[in-house]
Amino acid sequence: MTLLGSPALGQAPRTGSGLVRQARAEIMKIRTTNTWWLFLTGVVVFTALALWTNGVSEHYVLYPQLSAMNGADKAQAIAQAAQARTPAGLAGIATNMITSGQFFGVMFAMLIGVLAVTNEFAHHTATATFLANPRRTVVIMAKLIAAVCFGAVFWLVSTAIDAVVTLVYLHTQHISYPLTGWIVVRSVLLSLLAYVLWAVLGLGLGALVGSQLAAVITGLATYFVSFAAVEIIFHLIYNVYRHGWILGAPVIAPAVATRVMITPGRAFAHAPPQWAGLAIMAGYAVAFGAIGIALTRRRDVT
Amino acid sequence: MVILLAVLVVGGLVWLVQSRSGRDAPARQAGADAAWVPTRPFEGRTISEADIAGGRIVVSGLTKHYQDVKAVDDLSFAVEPGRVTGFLGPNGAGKTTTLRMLLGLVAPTAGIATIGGVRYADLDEPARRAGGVLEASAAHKGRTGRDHLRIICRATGAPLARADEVLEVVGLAAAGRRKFGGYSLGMRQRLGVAAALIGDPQVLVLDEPANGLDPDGIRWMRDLLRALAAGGRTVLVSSHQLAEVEQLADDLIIIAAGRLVAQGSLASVVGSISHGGRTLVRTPDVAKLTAALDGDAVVTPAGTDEVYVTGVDAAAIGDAARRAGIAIHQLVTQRPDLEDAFLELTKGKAAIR
Repeated sequence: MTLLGSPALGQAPRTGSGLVRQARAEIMKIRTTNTWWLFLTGVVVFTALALWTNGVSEHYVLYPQLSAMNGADKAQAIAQAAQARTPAGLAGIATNMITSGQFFGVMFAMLIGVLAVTNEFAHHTATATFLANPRRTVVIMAKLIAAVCFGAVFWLVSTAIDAVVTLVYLHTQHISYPLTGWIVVRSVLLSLLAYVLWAVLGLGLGALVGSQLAAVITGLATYFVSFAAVEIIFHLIYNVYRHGWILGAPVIAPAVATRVMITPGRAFAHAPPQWAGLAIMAGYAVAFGAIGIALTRRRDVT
Repeated sequence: MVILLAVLVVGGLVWLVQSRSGRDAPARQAGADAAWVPTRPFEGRTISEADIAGGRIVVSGLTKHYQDVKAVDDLSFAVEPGRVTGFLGPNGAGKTTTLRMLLGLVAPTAGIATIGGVRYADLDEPARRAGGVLEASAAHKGRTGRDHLRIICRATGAPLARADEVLEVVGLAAAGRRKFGGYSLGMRQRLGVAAALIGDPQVLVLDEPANGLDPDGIRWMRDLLRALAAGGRTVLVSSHQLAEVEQLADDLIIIAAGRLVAQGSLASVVGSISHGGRTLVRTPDVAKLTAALDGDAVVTPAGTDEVYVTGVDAAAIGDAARRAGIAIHQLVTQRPDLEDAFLELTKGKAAIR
C-alpha cells in the first residue's frame, strides 16, 4: 500500500510570503463564521438609525416649526437656521450625515479585533493555528491585518450607505453642498482611521485579557463607560484645581481621544486640538498592538 | 460623487482580493498543477533517504517547570523514522507537555527538542515537516470541518483542494460541509488527523489519538499509522491503551514523573522486566512437587496450593510431576506483557504531583 499524498504537494508553488499567506488565512477565519455578517448587519442597522435621527434633527434645524414657538425660542431657532445655512453650517450638516453610524460601527470594528484573538482560545483553535504557523509574530500581525480589513469593510459599507442617503437628503432639503469638498472628505477619512485604530486596539485588548467574555466587556466599557468616567473624574479635579487644561485632560481616554480626533475644531470646551487626539489614539494602537505581539509570543498554548 | 466612486472602487478591490483568494487554487489546479486533482487520496510520494534522515526526533535534556511542579525533568530520547513509537506514562507524567514542547507550542524551561536537528518553530516549512494531532475538540464550533482545513491549507501554503483530499483520507468527505459543533468525538479525532496530514509531513505526532474512537475507528487509526511508518515516516503516538500500543508500536518510550524510565523496542522493554515468563502450577502437594523439579527450577509460593515456577517450561514440570506421581490441577504458562512491564517500570512513580 502506498500511502498519502498528493504527489504535487511537494512541488506546489508557495503562495506569497508567510505574512500574506497567514493574513489570508486569518481573513478566511473571520469569513467562515457568522460573526462578521452579524456585525455587518449591526453596522447597517445602526447606520440607518443614525441617518434617520440625524436627518430628522438637521431638518428641524434648517426648517424650524416656528408657529409652535414663543418669542425667545423663535428668535433662537431663526438664528440657528441662518447659522446652518452658512458654508460652515452646511459643511457641518454634510459631515454629520455622511459619518452617521460611525459611533457603533467603530465599536463593531473593535469587537472584531477582540474576537480575532480570543476566539482562538475560547474554541481551542490556537493549537491548530500555531501548528500550521509557529511564527507567532507573523500570526498576530496577520490577525492585525485581518481585523483592520474588516474594520475597513464596516467603514466602507456604512460610508457607502451614508453617501447615497446624504446625497438624496441634501437634495430633499434643497441644499446644494458638494460632498467632494476637503472638509467632508477629511471627516470620512478620519472616520476610517477611527475604525482601523479601534480594530487594532481591540486585538491588543483580546491578547491582553485572554478571556473572551472579559475582553468583550472590557472593550465595551472602554468604549462607552470610560467616556463618562474620565469626564466626571477630571471635572472633580477641576473643582479643586481650576486649570483649564484639566477639562481637556479626558482626552487620555481612548473614546474621548477618538471624538477629539474626528471632530473638526474643538470637540468640547478646552478640548485639545485634533492632532492630539490622533496622536493619543495612534499611541494606544501601537501600545496595544505591541502588547498583543509580546504576549502572544510568550504564551504557552496548552 | 467622487467619494461614492472611490468608495465603490475600494470596495470592489477588497472583494476582488477576497474572491480571488478563493478562486486561485482551483485555477492553479486546472493548469500547471494538474496533479493536484484529488483522484486517489493515497497515491504516494516516495520518501527519500534525506527525508528519512530529516524525520528523526531528538529530545535532549528537555525540562519544563510550572511554578513548583517539574512537569518534564531532564528528559532525553530519540524517535526513529520508519517506525511507530509508543509514548507511554501514567497520568500527569508529562507526555502532553513533552509533545507540545516538541511542536513549539510550549516553551521549554531548559533543553531542546528537534525534528531533523531543527526546532519545529525554526523549520523552513514546519507544517510540511511535521504534523500534530494534539486536541480532539479543536475547531470553531460554528465553522465547517472543510473550512477549518482550508484555513490551515491557506496558512501553510497548500492549495485549498488539499482540504478535500485529506477529508477523503480520513473518511470525513461526507461530513466536510457540516459544522464542527455537530461532530462526534470520533469525527473530531479524524478531523484532527486530517489537519495534521495537510502538509503530507515526514513526522506525525499524536496525543491520545484513539480517545473517542469506536473499535472500527481504532482499527482505522492503527492501519493508518502503521502504513505511515511503513512509508518511512516517523510516528510518535502517546496513549493510555496499552493493549492498543502493544499491537501498534515498534518502539516504546516510557516516562513517569517527567523522567524517562524505559526506551527501546517493544520486545526489549517488555523483556526487561524481572520475570521473563513463568508457569503457574496448582497442585495439592506443593512440597513434593518442589522436590521433584530439577535444579534449574525456581519455585515461588503463589497461594495455598499454587506456586510460580521459573527456569523450566510447562512440559518439564508436567513430566516431572508424572514421574513423581503428583496430581496437577492447573498448569498455565504466563508471558509478560506490556501491562506488566508498564506497571513494574512506573511503580511508585505515578503519584499525583
